[in-house]
Amino acid sequence: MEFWVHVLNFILLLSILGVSLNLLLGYAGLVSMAHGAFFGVGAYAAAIVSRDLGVPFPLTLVVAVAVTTAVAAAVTLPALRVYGEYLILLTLAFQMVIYGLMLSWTDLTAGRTGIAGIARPAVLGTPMTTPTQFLPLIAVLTAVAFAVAWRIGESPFGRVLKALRDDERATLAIGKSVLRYKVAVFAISGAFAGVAGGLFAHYQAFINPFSFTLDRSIFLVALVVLGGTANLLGTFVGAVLFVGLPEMLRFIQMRQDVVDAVRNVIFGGLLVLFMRFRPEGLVPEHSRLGRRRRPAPPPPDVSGAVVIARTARGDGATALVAQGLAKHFGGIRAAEDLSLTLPRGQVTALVGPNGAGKTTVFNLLTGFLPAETGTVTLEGRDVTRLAPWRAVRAGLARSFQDVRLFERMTVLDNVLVAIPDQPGERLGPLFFAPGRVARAERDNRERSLRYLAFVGLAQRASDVAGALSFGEQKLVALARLLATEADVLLLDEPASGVDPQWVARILGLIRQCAEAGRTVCLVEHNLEAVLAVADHAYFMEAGRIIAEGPPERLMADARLAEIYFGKGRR
Amino acid sequence: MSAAGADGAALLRVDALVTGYGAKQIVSGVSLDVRAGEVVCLMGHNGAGKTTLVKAVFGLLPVWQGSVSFDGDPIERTSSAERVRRGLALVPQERFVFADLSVAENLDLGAFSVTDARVAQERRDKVLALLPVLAERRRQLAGTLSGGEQRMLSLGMALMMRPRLLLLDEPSLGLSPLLVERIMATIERIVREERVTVLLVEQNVHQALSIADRVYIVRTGRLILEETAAAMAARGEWWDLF
Amino acid sequence: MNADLGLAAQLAANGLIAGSLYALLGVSWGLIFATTKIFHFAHALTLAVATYGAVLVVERAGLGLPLGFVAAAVVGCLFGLAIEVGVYRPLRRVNATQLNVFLASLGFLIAGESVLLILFGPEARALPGFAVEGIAVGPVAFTTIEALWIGASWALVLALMAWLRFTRWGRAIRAVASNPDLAQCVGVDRARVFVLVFAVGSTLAGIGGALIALRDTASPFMGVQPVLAAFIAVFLGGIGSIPGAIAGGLVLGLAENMGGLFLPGHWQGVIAFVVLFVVLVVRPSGLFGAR
Repeated sequence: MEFWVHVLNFILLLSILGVSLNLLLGYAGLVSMAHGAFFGVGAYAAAIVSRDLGVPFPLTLVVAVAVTTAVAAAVTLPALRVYGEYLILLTLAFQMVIYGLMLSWTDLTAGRTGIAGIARPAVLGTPMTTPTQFLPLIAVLTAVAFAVAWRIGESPFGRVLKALRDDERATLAIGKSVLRYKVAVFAISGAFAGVAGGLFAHYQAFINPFSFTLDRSIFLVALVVLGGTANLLGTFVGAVLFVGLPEMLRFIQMRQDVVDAVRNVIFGGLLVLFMRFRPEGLVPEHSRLGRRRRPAPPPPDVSGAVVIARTARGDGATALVAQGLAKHFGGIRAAEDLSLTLPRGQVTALVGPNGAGKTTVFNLLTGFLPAETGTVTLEGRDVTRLAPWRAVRAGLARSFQDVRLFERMTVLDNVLVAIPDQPGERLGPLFFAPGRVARAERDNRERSLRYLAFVGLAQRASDVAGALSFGEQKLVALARLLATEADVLLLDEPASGVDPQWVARILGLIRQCAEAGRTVCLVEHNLEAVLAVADHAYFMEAGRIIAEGPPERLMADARLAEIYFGKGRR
Repeated sequence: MSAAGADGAALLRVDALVTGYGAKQIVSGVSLDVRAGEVVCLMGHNGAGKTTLVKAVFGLLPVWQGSVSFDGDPIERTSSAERVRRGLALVPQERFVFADLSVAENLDLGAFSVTDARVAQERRDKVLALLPVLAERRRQLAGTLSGGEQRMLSLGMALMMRPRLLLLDEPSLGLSPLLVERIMATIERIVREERVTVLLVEQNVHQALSIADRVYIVRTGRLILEETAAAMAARGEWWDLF
Repeated sequence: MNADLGLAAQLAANGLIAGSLYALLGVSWGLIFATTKIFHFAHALTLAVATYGAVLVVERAGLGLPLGFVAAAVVGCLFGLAIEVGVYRPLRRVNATQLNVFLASLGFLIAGESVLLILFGPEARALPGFAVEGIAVGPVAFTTIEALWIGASWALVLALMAWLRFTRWGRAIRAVASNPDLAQCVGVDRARVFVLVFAVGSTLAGIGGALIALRDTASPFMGVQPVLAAFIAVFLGGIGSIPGAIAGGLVLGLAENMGGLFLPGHWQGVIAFVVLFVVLVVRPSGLFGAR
């Protein structure tokens, strides 16, 4: 009996670690090969303060959490600049450094001997010694961990993490500080690992480096991936499988190292097979199991028109002025002495031959590329040096030629995530003002449905965005852009690559936005579309603006036609 | 150029082709043909699906529906390597040289499907004679060439394949007017001297019309017009087509 | 003073010995990574399996050591090919993400190591048959095995560089690494190039494993440490550059061994990773990378 309780305790401890990793890997899409090390940092922190300073139990756990959080946040500093294989390698290196220090920094860690005799926690004077006595403590903390992780994962905060996972650039473009979220999620993940590590140290009363190896990290990754990423129930299922199944193997008479090896063969093999046949894991992200039902279809009376009005940040006749912008790539001039003005409530177009630098202008205006010279003034405020997400918060947002929706999120969440200043994006209100968060969430949800109603896609709200047609995706991107509440909208080819009937619809919506007071600037190659929608146009060639005026007048200019269609020979 | 060289039989025939990226349908049922000896130009605004169409013809993208036949044989299920062996060559719109390799190595790669070193050598000499600017820079890394020289190199690589049908995707993109002129003149010479059939994607209408026999205009994945270059030139003004 | 200089010279020699092997392994992994973009963690398994091949041939079958090395090369080559064809190719067919391919590689590694353990037991095995002798050059002492490490590593690395530079398929590999789409345009069959780099890279890993077992031992988990060193060599040097991986391997070997002169003892085992950590933070493109 005690044995099975022990197994259960291990399942619970491992699922806390799994949750910790799932927040990173599943929600934020950030790989960590260092979770074994984080686990170890928590365990050693608790063990060392208990051994050397005589700190009593609940406090040791606090220390473990504090130290692990700090260490995990420190890892992010370089990790913020690296992703993909670099992040794999960086966390791998961190795992090896920590493990190496545990082995060889003997003054602190006692090396491979390990730390024994770690004080057992006592409740009401009775120390916990048996697994059964420990079970309530571990169970409660596991429940708390799951509750906290679920709260974070399903909150506006978690929604931004998923956006980050699906498309980092687009996350910046809806006004979210990617940096803040990355540091925060690493720190939270570290805190969870600290809880698991501290508990583990006290539960075992003995630790040595061999519990915190690279293998442990690899197993945690396997556990989370097999269970199902971005789904906490999946992580629990994974932990049960990973700890429970090998214990079943004990009933077959085998040596312990062979049992371990058989377990490794099974899980390693499963990992390979799952990647091929079921990469979403046992319990997939959008599974009905273990998660709230998706919203019911919107009430039929939802109308979009009310939400597109501008938020009245400024009132001058011009919303945005750019002066003397320049940018070079190597020897190539991408932009030179670019000056343009966007009149409030009007649609301005940038036209010109392919490669003239139109998208570069958008990148310069919104801070995605730093301008070498020149200034951008938005509502009288200098926004030239603002980071892209800050520019959005100041009221200047852009869309992308290739749409860049958050493909694994629902249509509704794509729009919802873009709404600024949600209280649930901050951890304080999330846990200490749940009423306010819930109210805001209800309002924002309704608001998002209105944006979707405006573009005519409210009935698709609960579909996964990646499953939509290209035309529909362009409309969702427009709704998402409007949801940022920016007054100045830069649209990069809003109508390209979609069927003619969609083009008309998109152009109509753009006109409506302008009439509601938003300022629009668009890059478009479909000249019919420009004629239909733009009040004013700038003509670009080779990084410069060479003419401006009403679109029909520009198109009547023989010189510009020559630039657009090329000069005749002979 | 005139259609005089054309013998009437289509060298390339595309029939009701549908294709795109991932789940995104870009080309929705395009049918066209290119007869041996012709220069045919594909025009249309950015995002209309020209590059996607050409990539599907060459086998870089799968054909979802419809067919592509070359010299009478269906090729829509063959690999690009197989299409190169049959006589197709593509010069892509961007990243059209191996930047980390030397000019000479780039050219040799153009003749990759030729296993006989002597044949490859002969072709290289001929290409270098045709494009002398490359001869001077044989040992230089292709990435260090100027934009115009890189374009010349990409044409040279295509010629190394001895193609019967050359697919050129916006060979003048990003070049100054003077260089556009030079590239077009080179293409014209290649067509004349090597008797290559060409399917050309080009934004520069005037330049394209000066070397093309026929024109197709694409808009949002469909053909909206087919006419001779002469008729197109006679319009004098093309805003409504783009 | 003199003693210090002598120590430094000895440590430098040790660094050169280790660095040569790192360079070989770095090149073997870097060739695969630069061409296929697969984070091929299971390279560690290839190394171990090939080394067991050598041990079986020499120890069990009683054939000579040269045949043991041939076995390491052949087994490594075939095993690497099997991973490419049996694991990675099916994943590419379903458009698996780079992360998922990496995870599959990881799974294959842990499963494979354990199969080795079940088949051959956990104990370390020697690769016998080499008459070890000491060599002393001035203050520096090393063994004939270490001389072989340096000689074999450099011979293989230089041969690989020449092959990539001067042969038709070598050029094709560089073409795919440089610009995969264009390589397809000129008729290079990507699948064949992938098979080729796995064959070549895995052969080198197999020989590297046998070299390691000559001085140290073979065990089921022997591959991970050397392959981690290979990752570091590649990233230090800058991805895609063979000379970079060689330089990265040498820097790593020297840093590990010379670091003892400046750092407290307990940092010795982690210097490699600290170096990598610092380089990734300060210069993510690698010490010799272009960007």
